[in-house]
Amino acid sequence: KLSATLKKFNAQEITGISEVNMFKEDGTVLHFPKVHVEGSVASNTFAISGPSQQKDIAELIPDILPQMGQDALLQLQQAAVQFSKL
Amino acid sequence: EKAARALISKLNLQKVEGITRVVLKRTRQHIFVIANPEVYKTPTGNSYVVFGEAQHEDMQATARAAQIAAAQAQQAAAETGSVS
Repeated sequence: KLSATLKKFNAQEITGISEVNMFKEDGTVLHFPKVHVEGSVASNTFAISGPSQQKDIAELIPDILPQMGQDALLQLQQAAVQFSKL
Repeated sequence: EKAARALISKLNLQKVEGITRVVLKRTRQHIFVIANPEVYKTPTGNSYVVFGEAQHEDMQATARAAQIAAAQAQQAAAETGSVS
């Protein structure tokens, strides 16, 4: 049903995506190790399908580091400093 | 995007709150980042629809920034360690 809808706005399969991570506010990550992505860059719409796992950022380090935003890195850095003071 | 939203809204999707960033990893060096996305989940729970602008990022550049940040954190930790 979703794919039928996607066809209506010329969504195309985006090939070569090896994994998708969705970062949540609470510090967890929705991790999709095997994923199928369809979408349209022009309409800013993407459909992501496949099994997902809820993970903690710590479990995905170091692979996930380059994917994190500057803000998140800063937070991590501050956490590391805090931790070292203990 | 408007047309897509209208079509998608007919699918009874549930909004997923609290997602700050969606990253599509393509190869080792290239990722697509959707910052401030709007995420919806299908009733079956296996598919997600994400609205937002996808930006291409060079992983190597961000990896370097991450390494620098990590090094700085370590340095800061070492300094506070020597003071106390």
